[in-house]
Amino acid sequence: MIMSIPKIFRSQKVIPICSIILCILFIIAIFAPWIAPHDPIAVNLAYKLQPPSWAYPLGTDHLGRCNLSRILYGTRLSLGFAMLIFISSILIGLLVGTFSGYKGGIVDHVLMRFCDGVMAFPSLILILGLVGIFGPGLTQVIIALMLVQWVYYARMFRGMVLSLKEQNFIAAAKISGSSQWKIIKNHIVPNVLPPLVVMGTLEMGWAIMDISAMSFLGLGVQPPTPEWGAMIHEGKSYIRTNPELMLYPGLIIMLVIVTFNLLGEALSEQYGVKRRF
Amino acid sequence: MGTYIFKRLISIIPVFLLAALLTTGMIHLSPVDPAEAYLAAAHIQPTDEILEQKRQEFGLDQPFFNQYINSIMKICQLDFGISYVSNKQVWDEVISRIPVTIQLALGSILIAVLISIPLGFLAGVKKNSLIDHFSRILSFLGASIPSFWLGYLFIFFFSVKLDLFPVEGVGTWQHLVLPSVTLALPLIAIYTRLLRASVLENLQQPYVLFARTRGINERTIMAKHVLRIAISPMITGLGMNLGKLLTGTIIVEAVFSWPGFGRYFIEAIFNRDIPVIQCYVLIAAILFIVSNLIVDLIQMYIDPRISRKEGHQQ
Repeated sequence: MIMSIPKIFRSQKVIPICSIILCILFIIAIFAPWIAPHDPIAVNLAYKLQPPSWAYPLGTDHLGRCNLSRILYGTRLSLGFAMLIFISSILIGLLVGTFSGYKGGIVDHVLMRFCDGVMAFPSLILILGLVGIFGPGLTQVIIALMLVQWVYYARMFRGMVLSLKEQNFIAAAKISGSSQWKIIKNHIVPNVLPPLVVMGTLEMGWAIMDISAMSFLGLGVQPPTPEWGAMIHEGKSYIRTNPELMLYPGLIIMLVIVTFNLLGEALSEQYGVKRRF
Repeated sequence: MGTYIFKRLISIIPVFLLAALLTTGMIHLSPVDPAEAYLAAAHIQPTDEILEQKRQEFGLDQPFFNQYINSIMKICQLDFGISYVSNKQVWDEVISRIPVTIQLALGSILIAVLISIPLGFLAGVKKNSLIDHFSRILSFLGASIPSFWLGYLFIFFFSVKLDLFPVEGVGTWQHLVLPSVTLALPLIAIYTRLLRASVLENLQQPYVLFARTRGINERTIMAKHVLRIAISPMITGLGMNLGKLLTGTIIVEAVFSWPGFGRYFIEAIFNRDIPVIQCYVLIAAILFIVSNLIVDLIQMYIDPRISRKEGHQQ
């Protein structure tokens, strides 16, 4: 059996399988209020720490809240904010990176040294430092994550601008009278997209891990908001009597991160993009 | 080689100055006034008079440049200010907590190296064997399991169910096992992967073929030639991941109630103990640069080709 697992990893099926899992997760995230059987924050002390039943498929937690509903709503929060971080850091990175690449000279030099400095530093320490200044809270964590992540995209976009500036096919397209829009659509986007998709997929996994780690430490999402890391934090006091309280959210975090990592790896192999460690 | 080390040591200075600038600037970016944070942490009712007095004491009424120079001077004397919560020197507090964190970090590096060197090496030499698949699955899981959850899984299975190791606290070697393994798993994942890739790459090199044609036995080629060169990227990885190790200790210390530096930092964030936060970020920066330097030196010792290459570039 152990021999067959790597075969699945390597086969062409990884990308469709992971994409389907992610689609399901995004559907759950969007339609959480309709899918979830209960209100995720409704406290019902009469039903606390219930075993699984038809009404509560995964049982209830120490305040009688439905575990399944909380996990489903947690999908919404984790994926939603990971997307937000992803999109906003790409936008900042795109602006700074292309600006730096086009300008060149001293502007480019200063911006890139700054990026090097941020990249050289372990990101979680920067995030913790920023949260330390601005105080604990989800908004602060999200802003800190954005401030750290955009740097990687800026570097990537700058590198692309520099290499594309030199490419003959761009010059050829210009000479043959292609419009600006057509050059961007037909020549630049197809070149930029693969590394962006690979990096984005891996970064989404990291962002979800970081959000849940910060919430676990009590610095991110505050109770009673349902979030996976915060659920593990709350469930840890019941590890002797009700270990499933911390088991379920951990399993779902792992599923999501494994999916993003597998997909990112498969895509990078497919497109021949080098990944960074 | 001497000039190379000297140049690297010099290059630490600008990074240090930048880190000091960031930590000094932190206070001004913060929405919280340090004087108010101090009074809140010390449970003193703030009045305008006391606030003004405290601001003067912290030097916040001076121009930013003066504050910056002052803080650099103080840092050089290992004076990181006084903790708002305990009213003791931050440096003394930190020094008393660092040994247990170092214990944890060394324990996990040891476990990571002891497991990943044989595993990564064998996986590379015997590609597509059972051990190779095992190493790939392990390195995949190690990169995907959140360490705070893994820590609780270990506590649940080994402490609650099997009662083999204590749940939390420090003291004996048994206390060290679960936290170090938790902290080591992501490292094992990275190192095994790096070493495997590096071994595979080296096996393609002409020197392996040459050694084989000379009739040197396979075992000697692998141990004396391939492993020695293939291990180099892993050592770079070791240096690059010390940062990860540092952030890892924060989480693992929280899980296992380990009274170290990381936990102190998290408490400081909750208490808004600004000098402690500044001190942590600065020490993290310095540790990071110094560890990278040491790693470079070790690498030069193992693979002398590197220092020659550096010499050519300069």
